[in-house]
Amino acid sequence: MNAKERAAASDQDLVALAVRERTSAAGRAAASELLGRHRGRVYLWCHRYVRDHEQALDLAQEVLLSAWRSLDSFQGRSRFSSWLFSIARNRCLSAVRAADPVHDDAELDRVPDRGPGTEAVIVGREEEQALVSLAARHLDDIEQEALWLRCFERMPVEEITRLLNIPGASGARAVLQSARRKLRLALDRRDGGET
Amino acid sequence: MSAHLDADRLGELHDAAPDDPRRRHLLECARCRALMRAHDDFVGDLSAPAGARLVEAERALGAFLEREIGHWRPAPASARPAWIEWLWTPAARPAWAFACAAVIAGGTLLVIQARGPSPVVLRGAPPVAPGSELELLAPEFEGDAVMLHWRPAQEADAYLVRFFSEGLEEIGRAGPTPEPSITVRLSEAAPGAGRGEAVLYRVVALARGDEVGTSALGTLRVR
Repeated sequence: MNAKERAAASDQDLVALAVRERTSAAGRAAASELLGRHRGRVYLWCHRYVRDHEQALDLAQEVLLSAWRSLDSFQGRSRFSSWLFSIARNRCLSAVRAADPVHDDAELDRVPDRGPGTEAVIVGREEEQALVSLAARHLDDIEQEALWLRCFERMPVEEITRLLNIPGASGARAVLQSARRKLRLALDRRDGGET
Repeated sequence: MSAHLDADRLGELHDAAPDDPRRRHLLECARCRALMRAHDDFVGDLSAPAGARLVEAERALGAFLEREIGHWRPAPASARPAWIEWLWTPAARPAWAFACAAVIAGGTLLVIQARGPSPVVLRGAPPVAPGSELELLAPEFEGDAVMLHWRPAQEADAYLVRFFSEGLEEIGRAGPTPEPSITVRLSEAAPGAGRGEAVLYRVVALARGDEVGTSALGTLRVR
């Protein structure tokens, strides 16, 4: 496969060639072409998490290298970009967790409220399944999604605002504040035996 | 409640049947909806967040991929083809002697040619033999544009010009063009280069997409 054919080949074809001829020049060129197609999106995704060009570049390199090393585990059940998403997501989550293991959102804590950051409390006090149930009962759809993106996807508030297309100057911040008030109330009631 | 969706299989859902249980789960589960939104954002057209330097990042990551993956590394000796192994046997000595004589004769011829007056070669000059190094001709500046030209290669049907920083990182490309010359604005062809900086370039000859020759590195100064 020459350079023109590689440029015209589908992601699936490039994966097949890269896996079949992993150590050959052709296989490496196919892998390089394949990952090169997605390098921009990987960088942008990483930048959303770390919000720093150099850190995002380092992270993107790790994602691309990890994808190349585990290319033979791609089973072709969904698009290559979907598979790459899971690698980028896991790598970014690991990076932000390592940098912020406690995850107490200082900005959210400026809201008058009792105790530490609600997300930390929630994650600390509730099993995941119990939280799903509690949130489903007390929060609307947007509040639930915003909370999940913040708590478990560790997405910055600005990104949640954009992703959920939340209008208004305060965007997702207001939605998360509303969610935290409702959940704290629900937790207090439950702990007080009122539910 | 059914199990949460696998992050690496979210792409399947777009093609899943309407009655697929995973679709029903998605309607009920905010966590998976949030994950699906993140996935769709990733596989769609991601916009650049504030502070992101996408062009620079793509260039750096392209160089990284080329360095880490794209380079072909020779196989270890034990995996060499039999004909290469044969070259190191005594039976190959006559072949080596002939090859050495040919190299010495060729070198002598080159030295003799180099000592003679060098002709001024412009566009339209006779093509170089296939596989040879392309000869770069002096670039011509016209305002902020520069015309690069080189001697054509016999087999080539197109030429690509690759631009590099002084650190040899690729910073841009021009072409492919079927002509043995191209006029570029360095601000567009090599956008990372600042005024006064040196930009290196190399011409690659292509035949049906395959590389059939390259030039040495030329140097330009951004004006």
